[in-house]
Amino acid sequence: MKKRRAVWAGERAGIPIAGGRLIDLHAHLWAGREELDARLMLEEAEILGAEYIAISHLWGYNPSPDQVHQGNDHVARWVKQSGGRFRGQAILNPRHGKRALAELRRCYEELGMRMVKLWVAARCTNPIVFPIVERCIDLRLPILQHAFCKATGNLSNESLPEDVAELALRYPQARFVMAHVAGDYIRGAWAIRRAPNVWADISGTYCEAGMVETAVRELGASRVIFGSDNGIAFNLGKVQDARISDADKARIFYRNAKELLP
Amino acid sequence: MICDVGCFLGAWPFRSLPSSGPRGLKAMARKQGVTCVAVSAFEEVFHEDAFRATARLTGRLASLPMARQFQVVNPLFPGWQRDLERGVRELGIRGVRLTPGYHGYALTDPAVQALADAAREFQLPVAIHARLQDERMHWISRFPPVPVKEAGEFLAKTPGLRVALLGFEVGEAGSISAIIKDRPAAWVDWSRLRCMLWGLDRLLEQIPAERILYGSLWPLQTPSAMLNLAKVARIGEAARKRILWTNGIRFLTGRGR
Repeated sequence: MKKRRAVWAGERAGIPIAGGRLIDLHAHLWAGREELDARLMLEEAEILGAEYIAISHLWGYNPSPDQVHQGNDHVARWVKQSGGRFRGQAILNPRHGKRALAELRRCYEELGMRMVKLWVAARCTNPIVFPIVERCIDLRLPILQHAFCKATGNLSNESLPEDVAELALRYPQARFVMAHVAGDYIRGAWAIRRAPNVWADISGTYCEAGMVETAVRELGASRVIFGSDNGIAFNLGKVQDARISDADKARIFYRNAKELLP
Repeated sequence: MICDVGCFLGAWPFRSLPSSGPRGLKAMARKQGVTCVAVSAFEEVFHEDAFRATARLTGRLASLPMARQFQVVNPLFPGWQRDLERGVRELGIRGVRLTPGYHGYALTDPAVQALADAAREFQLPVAIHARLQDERMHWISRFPPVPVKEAGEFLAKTPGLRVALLGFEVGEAGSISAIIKDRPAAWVDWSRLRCMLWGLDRLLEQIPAERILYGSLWPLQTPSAMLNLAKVARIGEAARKRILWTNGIRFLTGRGR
């Protein structure tokens, strides 16, 4: 009997994905629309052949302990239902102090989550974030840290790429993924060059030409990660059109994420 | 076949681009299957002596038969009427491009009405850019985006003019839908979709395929990102052809259904 050839990621949609394998390390279920988001993501992952999508829950800028708890439960439920297509990232609010650490423990031990997401509840250089980072070092969990640098003005507790670099240098044993290459990707890449324990994901921005090339040039392809922030097909194009080698593209699409979150 | 109504050549003043010359445009078109493209020059937006940039662009486009040159016009600048007339008669200009946020005028300004009248007289389509780049990422200077309300007032006052509204945010799709609903010959692009699952499908829930055209904003943006959305969109081939080709051609030429 003829053996069936494996279908490469992107093949069904006619979208070339270098290396043929794909992981999306940055996506969210938004409060109130968890089921819709999850179903749309699963459909997209199926068509594009993504190995998995790492998801976390977002409720608001400063979610309450109950909201965090419920959000992580939503994620865990969908991870279970997804047949391996989702991996869970624990959303935590550093303002919850010991409750945040207890929630981290619950997410790790009971819900099987192996990555943490920190958004905009606290700037990442705020000392209230440190205990979470220290616990993540103990548990060997990478942290997806939101960062953005907006010419129009950041949120009051929104981290800048310089903040992520500062935190990473304080904790060289920790591993961070800085989201969005911080939006202003030039400043973002420059800021974290000196912190080798920070990777940059390309998610969430418009499809600015030069973003991926800049990140690869300044950080090396081994520190650039594919993420979508909801919408894989769109974000694939940023890497597809980048003037970098196919080997580098394959690293970005798959290998770097696989090493961080096997 | 793909028709791209939103391309530029030249140097973007705020950051280096991987490619922004005629060879890059040609390579992008070959890769994406683009066979018709409306092109302007960034220098027309940012230089005070814009017409010189327009004339230079004509020379640069000579080896690109697929290109249709769109002249960037600032209706507040003295003598724009003469520049536009020269553009049409001497350079073979095929359309007008407006960048209000970069030139500091509102679409409701009477000067814009005069420009619309001139465009209609020359039978030129008009492309209006709400923005060229994410305003959150504009290094050094700020350029306000065009409000949808203004675009609506412009459309209401320019019946018969072919207009493409480019670079409006996807969150504005509802209001955009309302302003183009009863206004024939007005289209919108999807160059500002992001962070939205099945983005083009969802845009099509608000705006019919007859009113959507493709503008890549190359070389500022990566065209594959937008075209991937068209590839995975759960729409029929007829609708796909319409948004990637037919509507663009209709905007550019006034022909086709």
